Amino acid sequence: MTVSDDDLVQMYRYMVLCRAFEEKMCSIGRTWHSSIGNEGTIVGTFFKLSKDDVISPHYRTNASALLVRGVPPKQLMASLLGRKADFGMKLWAELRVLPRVAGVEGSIIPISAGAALASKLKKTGQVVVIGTGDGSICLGDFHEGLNLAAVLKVPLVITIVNNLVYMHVPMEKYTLIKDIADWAASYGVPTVSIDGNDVLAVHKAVQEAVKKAREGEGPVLIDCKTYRVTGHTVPDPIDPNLYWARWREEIEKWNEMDPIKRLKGVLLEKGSLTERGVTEIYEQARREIEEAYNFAKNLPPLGKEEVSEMEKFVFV
Amino acid sequence: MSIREITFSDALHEALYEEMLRDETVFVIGEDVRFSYWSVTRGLVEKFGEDRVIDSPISESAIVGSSIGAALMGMRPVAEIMYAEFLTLAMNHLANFAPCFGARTYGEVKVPLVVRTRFGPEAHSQNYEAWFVHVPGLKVVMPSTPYDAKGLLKSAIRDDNPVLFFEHIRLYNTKGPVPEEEYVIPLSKADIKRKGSDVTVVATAFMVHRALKVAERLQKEGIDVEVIDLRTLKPLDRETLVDSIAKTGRLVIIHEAWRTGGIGGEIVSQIIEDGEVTLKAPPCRVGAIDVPLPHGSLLDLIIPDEGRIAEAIKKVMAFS
Repeated sequence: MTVSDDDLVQMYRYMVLCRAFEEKMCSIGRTWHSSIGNEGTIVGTFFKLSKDDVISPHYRTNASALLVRGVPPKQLMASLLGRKADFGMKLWAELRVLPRVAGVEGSIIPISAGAALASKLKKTGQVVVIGTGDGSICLGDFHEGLNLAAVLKVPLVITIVNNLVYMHVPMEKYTLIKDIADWAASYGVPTVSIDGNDVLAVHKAVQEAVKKAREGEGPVLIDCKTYRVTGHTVPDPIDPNLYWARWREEIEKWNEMDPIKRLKGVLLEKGSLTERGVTEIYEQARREIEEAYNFAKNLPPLGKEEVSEMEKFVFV
Repeated sequence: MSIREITFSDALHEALYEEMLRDETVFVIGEDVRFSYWSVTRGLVEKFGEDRVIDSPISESAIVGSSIGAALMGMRPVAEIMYAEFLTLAMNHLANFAPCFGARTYGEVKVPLVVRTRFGPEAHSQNYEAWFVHVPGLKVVMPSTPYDAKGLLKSAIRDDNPVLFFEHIRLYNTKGPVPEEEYVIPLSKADIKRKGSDVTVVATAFMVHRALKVAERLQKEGIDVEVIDLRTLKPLDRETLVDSIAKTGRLVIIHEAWRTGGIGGEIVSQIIEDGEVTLKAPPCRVGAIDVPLPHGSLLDLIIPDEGRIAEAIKKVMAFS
């Protein structure tokens, strides 16, 4: 497949917007699971999916993925700060984002397999596209869910935002498999292993997987190798430099491969953007996120009304 | 209205058959559901095809998890967890996910899911129903007769909330009157299985039948026992319980689950905490002895038998 220059510029805009959002969240003194450095995987996965397709990003990349899906920064910021605001945009009804009701890793694999099964049974042609972290690959649900998705041949595309580390434990310490593809292939799930910091490679792989899934060929897993250049949380109560000697060196290496820097290089070389255009995109994103934050923090916090509202819907 | 006598398992089969016929979003998923060792789902595949009667891998977590996903998309899955013991393997989805979507999205999202499971004297039996009563957002159903089984399962399938449906293995082959005509039973009503004026006995599933036998016996000794079949543990039909206890002033609760942390304790609390009824005697809970349930013949010495039920009733009657 070919990707137009306009789309490449658009992906660049989203990556810069996601980065600005993440940097803001890292700077306001709240505990935040940052996805800085993962923008290539996030934008490549969720950019230009059909509006009818169902998505579910994983916790670390959730905010950024929602921006790409079209949630206005103001709404996202208000929701993350726990503020009262009715934007009228329904995440499930309008954007087909599977609601996150619990933080248990891996559980989304069987849930999304079931959503894809529904699409198959109802013949709606919808594909379910999810993201999950490498931290979820040793959970039972990862294996039960992959196997079920394969055996029922459902239209499901799983991208692994593979940071090569869960919390502070590197992959080689928690599994002896070298590649997630080894496991997926053993369930009969075709797997693509790619450079997760190459947004174009991720985007092409996801779009091709979506096409295959829609044609009835069953699930695909895409292992996007990227890196978490922050601690598990920001601020991190553990100093990774003390905990893990190789961390600083790895960060330097991965910062060189920063997905935004790389796409910028491509766009400048192609002449799709000028240095001035790049600066404008960056400043516009910063402005938009700053406005969203100032807007959201001045909204009233959620209160007793929301608890009463929840009580009404314990049984619907 | 024409009424035949059919078994509990045939009544459940009819409920599934009728609901699958009525609504094409209803489908069955679980282990060996096409063959169906306990016969409830046997034969459905011939009528409705492999897409709607899905033999899953032995993966309880994926069975319930995928059913939640399908329910979010507007299907009405009826998942089967072969034995209640295996519910623990799906606990994450049953407790953390299925019941939370409605409230967490302020009603935007519904999970019309039924999880059927079975318990009783088998190698894989456990009585974990009270755990699920504790979680906001799950309905818990436990029928005792073919008539109730059919009407309650049909309601559970039509309900927009996740419902756990417990079937007692000892009841599968019991027969009872079931109308040919369509009917449903609401998931919020207990049923007075025997009217009486001296003492209210609240029971579930197979224990309803033991309580009824004991009630007949005690009638000869001059004790008039009212037997209430809870049918749905959640929502709890507080009104029927309060009306009965206000009349009798005496309360005995019988269930096969352990006494500690069982539904009995919750019923006692709800009845006495606001002083709406005055009891003539302290309430009494009869449940399994608090030991791990063994397989085989010892089980019958652990769950309530007629002797222990009669003893409990006599104890509350003796109190003055």
